[in-house]
Amino acid sequence: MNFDLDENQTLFRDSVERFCAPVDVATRTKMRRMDGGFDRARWSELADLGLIGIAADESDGGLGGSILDNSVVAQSLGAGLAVEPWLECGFLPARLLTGTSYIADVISGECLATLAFAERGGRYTLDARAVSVRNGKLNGEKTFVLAGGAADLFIVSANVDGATKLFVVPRSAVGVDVRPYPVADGSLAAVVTFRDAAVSDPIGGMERLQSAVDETRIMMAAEMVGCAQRLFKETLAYVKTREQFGQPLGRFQVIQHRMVDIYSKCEAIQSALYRAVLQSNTNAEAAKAYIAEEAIWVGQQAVQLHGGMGMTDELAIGHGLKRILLLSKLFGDPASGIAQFAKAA
Amino acid sequence: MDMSFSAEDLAFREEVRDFLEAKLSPRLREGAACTPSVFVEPDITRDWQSILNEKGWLATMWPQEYGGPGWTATQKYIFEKECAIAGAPALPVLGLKLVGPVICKFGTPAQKAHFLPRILSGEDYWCQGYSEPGAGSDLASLKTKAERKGDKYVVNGSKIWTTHAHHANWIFALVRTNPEAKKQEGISFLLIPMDQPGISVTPIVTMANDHEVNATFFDNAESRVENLIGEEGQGWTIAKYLLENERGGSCAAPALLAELDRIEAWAKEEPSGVNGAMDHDPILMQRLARLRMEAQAFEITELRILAELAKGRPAGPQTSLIKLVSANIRQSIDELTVDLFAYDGLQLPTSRPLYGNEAPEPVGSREAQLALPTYLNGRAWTIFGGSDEVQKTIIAKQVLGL
Repeated sequence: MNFDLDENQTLFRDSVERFCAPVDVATRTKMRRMDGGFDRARWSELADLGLIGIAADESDGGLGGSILDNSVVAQSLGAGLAVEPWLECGFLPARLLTGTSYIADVISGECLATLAFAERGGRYTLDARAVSVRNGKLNGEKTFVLAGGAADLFIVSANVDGATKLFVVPRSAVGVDVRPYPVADGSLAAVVTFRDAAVSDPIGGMERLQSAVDETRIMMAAEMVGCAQRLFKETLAYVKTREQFGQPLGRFQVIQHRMVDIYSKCEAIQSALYRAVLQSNTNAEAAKAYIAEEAIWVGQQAVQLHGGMGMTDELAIGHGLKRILLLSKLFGDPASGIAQFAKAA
Repeated sequence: MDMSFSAEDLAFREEVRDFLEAKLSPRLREGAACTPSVFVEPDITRDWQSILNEKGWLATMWPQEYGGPGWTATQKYIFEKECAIAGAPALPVLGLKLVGPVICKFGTPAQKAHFLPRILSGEDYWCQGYSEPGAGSDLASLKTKAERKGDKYVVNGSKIWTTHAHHANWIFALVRTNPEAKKQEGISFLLIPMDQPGISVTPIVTMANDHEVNATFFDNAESRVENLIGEEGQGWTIAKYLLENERGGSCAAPALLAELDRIEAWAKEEPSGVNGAMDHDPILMQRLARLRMEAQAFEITELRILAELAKGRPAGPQTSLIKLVSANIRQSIDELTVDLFAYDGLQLPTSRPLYGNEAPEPVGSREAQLALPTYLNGRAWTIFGGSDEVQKTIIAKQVLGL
């Protein structure tokens, strides 16, 4: 029995911490206003550190990191409140594009790829319905395409004779229309419309999509754990220093008990994450749903205990809550995830 | 025991309904519905205010001699309820419901004659200077000082969370006039004109991307001595009156119930992704039903308070629960709305307003576009005007005797 990080995992964690450390909240806000919602130079830096390659197999030229290795990166990025879409444009495409010619440019950071899966009216389903491919032409509209405002390459789920297949379409292709819009975490998602966009053979089907999404759910859980722990740490420091009625807030019993509850939730979701990572045959959707629900609560409490300051965009607190909210719903929300677990059990 | 309104009250309700039906323009309704922040912007409230002023239905909290409609507690409740159901824009409360009643009660004849008509006409727009960076829950520790110099007070310090200070031409502020006196006793209630070089206003943008509150700085700002309300050192008493005035009957439940009705209607339209719409989703509908039970019970709590007031008796101790209960139901409603709209509920527009021609195009529906900004701004319900933690401490002490 051993829950220590190994030498490489420690290096990855330290590397992410160094990467995130110089970015304060004001810098973060500035980055969000950049074209595409983040700084592409920083994305290249992330790639150069091997932090995208870690998600790709060695046969694809990656580092072949394990799920645990990758979760350490995701959790550290969460704790660092990174704006870079590592999960959306690093880990997930690296898993989806394995064995294809696109993977090298994704690992190097040159190509920003993202999955276009959500459709109007489809709620959280992964089945492609309205977007379809016939005779080599892609048609239909995808919504909630994360980092869609910046992406160079879309991995599009599309219906082919009733089955969901994955196609690769460059943003620059004829018949691709991208309408970016801001989402919870300040990033730019997009509605992407395809009108007779030419596609070649699919790179895979539902099996590939489902397995990549499940692995990504673990990374989302890890990032939320990191975010929640960061908010806990900042809130603890705040209630120790903020004085009202002649003493630090942390001297009031109501605050002490609340902080213990937050601490307890943070420990619980860390454990749930380790269980999901280390246990074979884990139910990633359920683990992510549970962790999401607790992380949202931690985020809400962090806002509450910071009072008016917690409401502003000037502290990391709101930024953390908003990222948690976004992740909590990507590929299913807590209610849908836990319902799925109940059905499976 | 009887929960129904009298025939007279029902007739009044019809009158209010007809009036709202005739006077609430589509623009006003849209402005109210598409405001994710707690306060509605003056471009909407100004018009609604002048319509109500013309009718004599504006200053419902004021005595009749100063322009109030002379309504009973029940009539006030019915009016508020019908406004909430019809989707009327919330009025600028700082002038009409906070400083207005204070001037009616504590103001000199000259102050009443000068300020009250200007609140009614909308010529003056008020903001409130209570909290300070170091004085939030512990309001009495405020430090902004006003020193008397001849016929003026010179004000130095800073106020925070000054809602709509960027629109206001007057601020009512709690200031320290006597640094020697005990905490509460050194505080005075001063009206200060905003349009002067000694005052600067810095926006504070919320995590929902709304600019509603500000930091307001006083650097040798001036106000004439005749702008002091009451006596020096009476500020804390006046501030407490203002809070009690807020407790003179409330009508929060009807808006919450109306919101739940809207969610139910949206759920009929929102595809479940499997088969049919979200009104067949057992989890969502159970949460909706549970919230409806809470809001319905809360409505009766408000009516129990109203019944006491209508009999001329003081409001019961359950008034202390109103803010706490309504804030928490509201936040649960906001969460449900965001969850209803799935991915569309995650859009967070950066520009404002979200009504009229300038509004950014929504992804999906306008309701979905409003969900997250409303949720995020709504986290403040359990913080402003006394946080939940402070409220519970007060109730524990004053109501339960703990």
